Amino acid sequence: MRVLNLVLHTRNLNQVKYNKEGDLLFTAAAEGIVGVWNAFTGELLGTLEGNEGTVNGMAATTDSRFMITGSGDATLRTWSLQTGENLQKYELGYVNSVAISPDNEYVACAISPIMGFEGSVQIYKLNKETGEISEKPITTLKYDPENKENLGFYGKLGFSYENKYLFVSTNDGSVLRFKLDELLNGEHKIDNYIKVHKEVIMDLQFSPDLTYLITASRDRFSKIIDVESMDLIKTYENMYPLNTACITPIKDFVLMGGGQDAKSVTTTDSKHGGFEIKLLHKIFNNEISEFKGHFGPVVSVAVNPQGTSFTSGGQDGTVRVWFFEPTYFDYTVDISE
Amino acid sequence: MDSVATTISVPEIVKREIVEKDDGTKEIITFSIDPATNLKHKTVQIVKQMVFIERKSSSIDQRHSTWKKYGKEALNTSLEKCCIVDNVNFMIGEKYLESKKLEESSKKDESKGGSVRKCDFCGGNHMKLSCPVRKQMRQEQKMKEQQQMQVEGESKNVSKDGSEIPTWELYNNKNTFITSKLRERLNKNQELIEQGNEPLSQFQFEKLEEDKKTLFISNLNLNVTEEDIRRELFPSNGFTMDKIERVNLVKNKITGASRGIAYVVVLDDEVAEACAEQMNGKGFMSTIINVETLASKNTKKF
Repeated sequence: MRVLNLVLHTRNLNQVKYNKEGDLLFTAAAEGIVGVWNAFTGELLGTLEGNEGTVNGMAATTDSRFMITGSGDATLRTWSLQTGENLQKYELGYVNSVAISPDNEYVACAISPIMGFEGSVQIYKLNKETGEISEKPITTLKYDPENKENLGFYGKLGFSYENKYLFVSTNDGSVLRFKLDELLNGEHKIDNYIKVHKEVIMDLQFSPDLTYLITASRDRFSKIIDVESMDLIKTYENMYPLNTACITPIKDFVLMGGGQDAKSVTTTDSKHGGFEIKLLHKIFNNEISEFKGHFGPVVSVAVNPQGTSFTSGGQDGTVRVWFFEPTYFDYTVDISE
Repeated sequence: MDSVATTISVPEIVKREIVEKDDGTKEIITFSIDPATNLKHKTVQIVKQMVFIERKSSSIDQRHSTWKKYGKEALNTSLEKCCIVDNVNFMIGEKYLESKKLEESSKKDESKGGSVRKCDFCGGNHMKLSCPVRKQMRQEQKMKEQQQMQVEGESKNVSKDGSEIPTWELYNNKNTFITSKLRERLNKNQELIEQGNEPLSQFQFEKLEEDKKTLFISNLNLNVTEEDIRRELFPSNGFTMDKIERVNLVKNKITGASRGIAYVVVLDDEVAEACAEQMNGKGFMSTIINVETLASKNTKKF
């Protein structure tokens, strides 16, 4: 198996992501640098420098011209991916995650209620040509502690297909669904919600066609939820707390990564920390394979949209690109047995 | 370029044949004459045409051809940013499950504490000293030896510990030289037989002699070490260190603390008796110690 080790970051990774075509790879780390890589050769094409705090969330437009990052220095910044220029900078609050709608019309960012800022989800209009976002948010969905339906602080964000819904995960383990048209008109009503986890949801990623989503939580479970009906479809269990999970295209598999807390890592052997990335069958729910190599908890995993490779980022600052072998594509399950 | 043309002579092509074969390859045969040496050449080339179709998105192509590198880290080319990791095995499905089972079983062995242990004798998972096969073989060998001794008809002159019992009956018939030591033992056995006791074997005689030159020291201070006995107790009483053969301080097996008892082997029984006489009842490190030879102690008991 061909594996690339990308050496750039000195502190823990927060997110790894591919662009839509799968030729560019983005890595965001705690030292405030976003790396732009060639996803096939591992060549470093550029670094986005300027964030003064940890980069928590990032999203690239589908035409791979612009990028929006949310950082721990309370800023939301827009970048040109071609030149590495910082186009805009807004001071909003501690940004937890960023998402761009599939048609590049809107940008949503979740702000955590820490450092004196109010917890909220803000939606901006994105200019497709210049890559700039509107000065003031179209709408601000505020976190209301007295409202019973608002279950917890907002964490991760995601747009479903055709700009229909906006999904927001909360830190008490539930997934909220908002209708985007209603939100834009100023109606802040939760359309539907489901409580699936007991602890904080660390990751929320969509299937390639954006019709179902997968969550990963620190309570050791990963779950698949249907976008339209909000039903729980599948549940995957792991031995150790999970940080990330994603759905592979081409084959019906699921990748999960996680591991013990960093504070308890030193007390155990690296063999028993659960730092392997697990490959599960999406439908039959059994463990098929694992990828060993990280020496610390795996923070983020992303699959190439072409389905030929995936990338993992660890808490020790290592990024690995794993290219699948022919046996991966040939694997089939005998149902007769 | 002119110099190249003059030095390397281009061969003149006379004839060229192209044959197409069934398996898609072409055979090109060319006949040529080298003008410099006037030699005729025949070259055969087998050519297979291969077509590679690379489908690329136009946006990707444009991106990778026109974009320039930016950022401090990317422009710094002195460090390699990407390296290939070797020896990564990928197993899927049943193969993976099998390998995992193997790993778990080996882990269990490790937790018991002995994946490294290997017996030299039989190759089992234990130390050589505790090898059951070796133990059994040794026992059988011993039994055989004892049986042989009995068969030889000298069972009367062999004691239970396997050593010889020296008597005058045995040595009168033998044409061997009798040393003074052996003579003493023979006389002693003769006395014992006349008194009606059992004669002693060679091993028991040796033990008795060893007992005579061994000192038994008790009521020692618990802080006394072997070095203290060697370097302070004996020299202070007028016996130099080279008269001591070995010192053995008795310790608790679990805690390692001294029990206040020591066995000291000295050069010969004369020194041992002198030591016992001089050192018995003397003070050493705030206690009064008892010193006696092991032989006298044993006779006291009986």
